[in-house]
Amino acid sequence: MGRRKRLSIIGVAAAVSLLVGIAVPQAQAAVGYPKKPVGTELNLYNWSNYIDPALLKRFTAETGINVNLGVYESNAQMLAKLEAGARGYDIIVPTDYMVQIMAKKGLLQRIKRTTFPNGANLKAEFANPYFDQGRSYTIPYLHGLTGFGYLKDKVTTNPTTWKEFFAAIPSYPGKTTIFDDKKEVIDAALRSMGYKPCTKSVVQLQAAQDLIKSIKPNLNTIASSGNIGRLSSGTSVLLMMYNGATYKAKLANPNVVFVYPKDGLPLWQDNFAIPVGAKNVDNAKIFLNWMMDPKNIAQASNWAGYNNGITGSDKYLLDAMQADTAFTPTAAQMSLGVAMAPCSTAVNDLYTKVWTAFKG
Amino acid sequence: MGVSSLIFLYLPLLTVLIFAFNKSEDATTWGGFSTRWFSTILDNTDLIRSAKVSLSIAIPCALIAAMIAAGLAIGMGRATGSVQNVLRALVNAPLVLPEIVTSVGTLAFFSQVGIPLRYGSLLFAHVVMCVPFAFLPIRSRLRDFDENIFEAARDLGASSFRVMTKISIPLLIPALLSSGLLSFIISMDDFLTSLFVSGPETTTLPIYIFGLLKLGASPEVNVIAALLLIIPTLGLLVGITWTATRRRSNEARHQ
Amino acid sequence: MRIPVRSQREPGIYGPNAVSFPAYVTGFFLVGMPLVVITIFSFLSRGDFGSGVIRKFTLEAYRTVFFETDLMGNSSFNFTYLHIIGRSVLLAFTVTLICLIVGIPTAIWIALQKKSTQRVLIALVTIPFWVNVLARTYAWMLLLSEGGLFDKLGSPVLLYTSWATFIGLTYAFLPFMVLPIYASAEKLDRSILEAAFDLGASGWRVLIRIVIPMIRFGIFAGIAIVFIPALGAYVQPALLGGNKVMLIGSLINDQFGESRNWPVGSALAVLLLAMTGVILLSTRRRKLEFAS
Repeated sequence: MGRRKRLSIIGVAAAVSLLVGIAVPQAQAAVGYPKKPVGTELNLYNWSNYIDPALLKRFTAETGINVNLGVYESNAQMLAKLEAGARGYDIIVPTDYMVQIMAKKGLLQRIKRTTFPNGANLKAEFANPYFDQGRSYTIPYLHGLTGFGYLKDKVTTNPTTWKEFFAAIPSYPGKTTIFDDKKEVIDAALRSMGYKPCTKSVVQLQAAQDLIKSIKPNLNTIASSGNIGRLSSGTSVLLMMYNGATYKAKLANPNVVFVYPKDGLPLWQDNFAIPVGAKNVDNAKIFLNWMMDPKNIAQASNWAGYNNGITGSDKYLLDAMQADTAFTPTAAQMSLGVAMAPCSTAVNDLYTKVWTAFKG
Repeated sequence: MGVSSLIFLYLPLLTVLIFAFNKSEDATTWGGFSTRWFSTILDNTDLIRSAKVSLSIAIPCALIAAMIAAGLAIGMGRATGSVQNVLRALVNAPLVLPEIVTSVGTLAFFSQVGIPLRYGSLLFAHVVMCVPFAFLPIRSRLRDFDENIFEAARDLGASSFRVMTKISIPLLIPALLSSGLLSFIISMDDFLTSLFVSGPETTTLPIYIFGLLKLGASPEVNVIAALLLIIPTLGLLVGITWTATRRRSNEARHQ
Repeated sequence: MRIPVRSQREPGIYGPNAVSFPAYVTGFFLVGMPLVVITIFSFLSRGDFGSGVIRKFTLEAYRTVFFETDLMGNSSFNFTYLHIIGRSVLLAFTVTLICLIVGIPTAIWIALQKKSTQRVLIALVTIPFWVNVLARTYAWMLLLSEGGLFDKLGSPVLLYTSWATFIGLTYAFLPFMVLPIYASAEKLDRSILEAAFDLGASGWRVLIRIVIPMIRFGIFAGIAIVFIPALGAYVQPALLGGNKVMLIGSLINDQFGESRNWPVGSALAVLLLAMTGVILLSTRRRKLEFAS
C-alpha cells in the first residue's frame, strides 16, 4: 500500500476515533433496578480521602465493577467541574445544600429508590431531608459536623467556642489551619461574633472579613484536606476540623481533642447522587444499593469516622468509635448543630467578596 | 558559582531519592533505610490507573504532535507571508504564553462549542500544547541541511510530494524521534492543562499526584516522587549514551 | 519573465504546502479560538448561580478587577485584585532577577569548559527539566518542612511561607535561564576575551562591557522564558506557599473553579495575556534593533 494511502487511512481512523471519543451516545439505562451490571466501569467523583479504598476493592470483588475515583475538595469545585462540561461522572457526593442547588438546576437524575432491594434501609430521621424530600435524588452517605480540633498538650487554654478558637490562633503562629472553603470559614467567623450564617448584613460580613484577615498571618496553610496528618503530627496544633477526621487523628495521637463549639456549628449530610450525563447509570444504581447495605456503609463509617443514615448499621460500627464523642455527640453537643442551608445568590456574592479579599 | 548551581539543582532531587527509602512512617524524618514503601504503591490501583491514562494520552500525543509539527515545517517551506507568520505565531503560542491562560482558554472554548471533557478533548489539548515543542528540533534540522539539495531536486523536476517523501522525511527521522520524545515528556508531565480539561475518565498521573501532595508528605508520595525522578533520568541517560555512541560511530566511520 | 518577489512563498521546497494545514487548523482552532473565546467571555455576564456565561455584554468583569465596591457599597480602586497582580509581578521579577544572577555566571562557566565537559554539564542542567514539576516541588516540601533538612540546619520553618514559593519557583526556572544564555555564550569568540585581558581589562569590565552585550539575546530569551511562566505560576504557591498567598495563577484557577465567575477569570486571563504580550514585544524589539 502506498505511503500516501496508508497515511490517509491512519488520518481518517484517528479522526473517527477522536470523534467517537468526544461524542459517544448514551447507552439506554434500565428503568428501575438493573438485573446485572452493564459494562465494568463506574466513575465515582468524591471528596478527597473520603472513602475506604478497601471498601471499593470489596465492591469490585463482589460486583465485578471497577471504580474510577476522581476527587474534589469542595462542593463548589465539584459543581464547577460539572458545569464546565465534565459529563460522565456516575456518582457524585454533594452535601445537603448543594443537592438542593443542583436539583433545582436539573443536574441530578431521579433514582427510583423504592425499586432497589435495599431501598428502604433509611433511618427515619434521614428519610425526608429538606434538600431532597422523599429521597428521590439521593441516598445518604455520611454526615458530620464541622468544629475544631486541637492538641491538648500544646493548646492549654481549652477553647470551647468559635470565639475562643479565633482568639487563640495568634498564640500559635504557623501552627494553625483553616479550611479552604468559603462557606465554612465565613460561617464560623459569623458564629464567633454571635451572628448567623447567610446574613445579609454587610456590617456583619465586614466584621467577619476583618476577623479572618486578622488571623491570616498566623495560619500555616489554608486547606480542607491533609489536616488529619497535620493535627496528629503536630504540624498544626489548632485547626478547623470535621468531627470524623478528628477522630482519625485521635487514633494516631491521643492528645487530640474535638470541640463542638458552643456558639453553634454546622451539621452537614453528604449524599450519593447520580448526575445527569452519567455514563454507567446501571452500575451507579448497583453502587447506591450496595452502599445501603448496613454492613457496607458501616465499613465506610468505621474507616472515615462519621456516622451514616442507614438502618441496621449500628451493630457493625466499632465499639471504641461509638464511645468517642467525636463520633457520637452527646445530646447537648448535638443540639448545637445547625443544618446548613444554601444562601441566596446575592449573599453568596457577598461571601465571595469577603473570601477574595481574605485570600488575596 | 557553576558548581554551586549544580548542587542547588541536585540537592532536592537527591533528597527525594533518599527519602523514598525512608523506613519511618513520618515522611519527613529519617528513620532508617528500607524499601518497604515501594511494594505498597503497587497495590495502589488509582495510581496505576492514572499512570495508564497518562500513557494513553502521551503516546498518541507524541505521534500526532510530531506528525503535525513535521507537516508544518515541511509545508511551510521558507514562506514569510503575513498570514503564515500569524498562523505560525499561533502554533508556537503555547510555548510562550502562560499555561494558565491557554488552559482556561481551552476550557472556555470547549464549553462554548459544546465539546464534553473526555479523552478526545484532553488529547487534543495536549497535542496543541506539544506541537510547538515538537516543532523545534524539526525546524532546526531542516534548516541545517543544505538547501541546495532541495532546490536541485526541484530543478530536476521532482514534485513537492516526492521531495517530501524521498528527501525531507528521511532526513527528519532523527529529529522526529526527538520531537516525539519531547512531546511524550511534555504530555506526561503536564499538570495545569490536564487539571482544567480533564473529565471523569481522564485523571492523569500528575493530577492524581497533586491530590496526594495536598494531603501532605507521606512515604507513598516519597516513592512516587522518586520514581518520577528516576524514570526520566534513566531514559535521558539511555538517550544520551545512545546518541553519543551513534556520534562516535559516525565519526569513526568518517575517519 | 516574472521576477520572484522576496516575500513570495517558495512552494514545495521541502514538500507540498498542504501538509502544513493540519498545524494551521489546530493552531487556529485550539490556540487562536480559545484566546478569542476568553476575550469575549471577559465582556459577558455571569450565568445564574454563577455558572458559565450568558450572552449579555457588560464591563462588569473588568470593573470588578479594577474597582471594587466593598461590602459597604463604597467604590474604590480594587486593592485586592490589583494587589494580587502587583504581587505576582514582583514575585516573577524577583525570581527572574535571581535566576539571572545565578544563571549568567553558570552559563558562562559552562561555556568556558572543554567541549566534552560542556556537553556533560548541559545534560546535568537539563535533567531537572525532565523531572515532573510536582516531584521537584515536593522535594522542597520535604526540605523546608518542620523536621526537614533546613529546619535541622537551624533555619526557621520556611514551608508555607512566601519564601518557599519563591525558592520553589527559582528552582523550577533556573534551567530555563541557563540554557538559552549558554546557547549564546558558547558562540562567544574567546579571542576577543583574551585580547581584552591582554589589554589589561579587569574581569568585571570584561564581563560587563564585552561578555554580557554579546550574550544579550540569550539573556532576553531567558528573561522571557522565566518571567512569563513565573507570572502565571499555580503549583508552587498552592503547595509551598500554603495556598495563602494568592497570585494571578491561583486567582484565575479560583474564578474558574470554586468561585465560578468565568467573566472575571477571563478578564484576569486577558490581563495576564496583555502583560505577556508586553514582555514579548519588549524582548523582541531589541533583537530587531541589533539586526539592522
